[in-house]
Amino acid sequence: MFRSTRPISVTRRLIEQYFMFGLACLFFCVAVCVVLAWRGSLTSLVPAAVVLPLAILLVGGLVLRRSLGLVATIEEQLGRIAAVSSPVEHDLRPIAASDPLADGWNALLERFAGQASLGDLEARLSRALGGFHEQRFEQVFNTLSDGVAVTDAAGVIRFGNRSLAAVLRLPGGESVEGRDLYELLEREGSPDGCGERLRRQSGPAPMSIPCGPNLEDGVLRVSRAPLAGDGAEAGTLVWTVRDVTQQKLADEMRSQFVFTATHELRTPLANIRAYAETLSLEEGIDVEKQKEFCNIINAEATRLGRFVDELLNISQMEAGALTLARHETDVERLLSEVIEHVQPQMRQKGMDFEPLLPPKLPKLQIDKDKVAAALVNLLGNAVKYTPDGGRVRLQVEASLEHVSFHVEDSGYGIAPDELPHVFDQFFRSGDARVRQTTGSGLGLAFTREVARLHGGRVGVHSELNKGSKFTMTLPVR
Amino acid sequence: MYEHSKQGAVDVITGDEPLNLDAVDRVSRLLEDCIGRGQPRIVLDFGGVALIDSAGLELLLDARQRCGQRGGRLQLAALSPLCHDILDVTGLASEFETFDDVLSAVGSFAR
Repeated sequence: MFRSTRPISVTRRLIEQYFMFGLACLFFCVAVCVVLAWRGSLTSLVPAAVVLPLAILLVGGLVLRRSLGLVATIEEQLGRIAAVSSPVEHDLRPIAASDPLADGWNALLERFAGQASLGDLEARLSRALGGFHEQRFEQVFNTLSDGVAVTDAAGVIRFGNRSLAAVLRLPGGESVEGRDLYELLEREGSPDGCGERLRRQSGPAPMSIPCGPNLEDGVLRVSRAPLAGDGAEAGTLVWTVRDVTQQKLADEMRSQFVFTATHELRTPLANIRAYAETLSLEEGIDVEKQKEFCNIINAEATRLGRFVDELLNISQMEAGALTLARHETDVERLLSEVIEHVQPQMRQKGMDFEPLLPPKLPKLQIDKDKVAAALVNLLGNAVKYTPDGGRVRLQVEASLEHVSFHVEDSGYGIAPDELPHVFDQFFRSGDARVRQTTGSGLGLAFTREVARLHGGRVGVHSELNKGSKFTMTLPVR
Repeated sequence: MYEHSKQGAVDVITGDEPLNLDAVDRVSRLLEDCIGRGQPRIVLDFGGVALIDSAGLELLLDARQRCGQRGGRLQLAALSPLCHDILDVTGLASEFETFDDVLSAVGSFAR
């Protein structure tokens, strides 16, 4: 078995050597005295025999003390280095002596001090750069518009940027750190327990999470990935949470457009084709029937033309190219033209039409054709979505500043949740009674744009199964 | 008068009077409501705004900064030539995304 032995120090070795040297001197003295005593001349040479060895010992002691002083100092300092755990926590002092050993020790200390200060500088630089990088990364993450989170395996947020709190609709200033991301996603109102589903799943799991029953309530796109790299704790996940509500709404609008366009173009075309084929192929159709078929073809062609016009208007709106050609317009005359336009449909449905116009109406600087089209849209909708025998009222109010056109009906009305969307392009009500009637969902969007371009506005009040009241207000300029 | 409306998930604030010291409080309240609700996506419709004064500019900068802090954006639409010039002269034109009309500004959030 290996047994460690404590090494004999340099000082001790020198003292032992000095002790042996002293003993040798004493032995030499005793031997000289014995020889002198045997020859009989001891008495005369006693002082020399005693003084000489003592003088040698004294000189040797002084030389040894001088040599040992340096070595002892170095040994003491080295002992202190060995005692402390950290190499920087020592107190090494240079030796003030002119000796190769002292010079060597001092040079060594200088180099050591240089290395220590270099190490200290490196440590400070590293700390400063580390802080700088950390700060930069935080700034970068906080600038991102997507919510970014780092969670542990249980979903507890260790880091979350500013956008994350906003995307999760937390009040301003509320911290997300330390909170359960799955719970926050659940709290968002996802109807089918998306947070819990995410918790159970593994893998990146990109998922769209609705924030409520309606698309307008918000949709979040959530994805995650395990944190990669050296020192990454197992189970740590990096999340991105993006609010994709507007993109989803745009997608839905595109789908709605395709559906509406397909329906509105196909249906009249199919009817026109069917009646045209009947007219051309069948023989012996009486004149009355032929006339009826021609009227149907004409009506369907008109419907097709109207839809194309509406599409053109909307495309102009989208391109910002819908412009006004303002002229001084007699409102009374304008209204009589509008009423003339919708009256046949009213008569056909046996409706009670009540125009309430003030005795004197101002002249307006407006684009007559566009305002007429907007009013026809409002009155046309009132006729379309009111059952046969219902009531439609057109009331006009004029002040010094505004002229308001109120179109009120006793129709199906609009559900409260659909009311904010009636002016959206391609919006069609989910009401089965409304669905039965053809419509592009573009008329009200156009009407609102026309009002806006004139510096006016359109509003609506409605009660389901009782009726609706649309108001278009235009400024008097 | 300044009014708030929604187009899809985008808040639109429409004004028809100068954005000056008198209007700043009202617009600020409208903006506050929009910024407090999730990630702000706001369009300021300047179609009827003839002028912006220093208080208005300060409000715009503040709102832009607050939207940015929540990962959102504030877009300006239908600026009149004078309002454009005011933003240019004050060096703020580059600070904001501007659009010719509200539809384009709202559409920018869907990209």
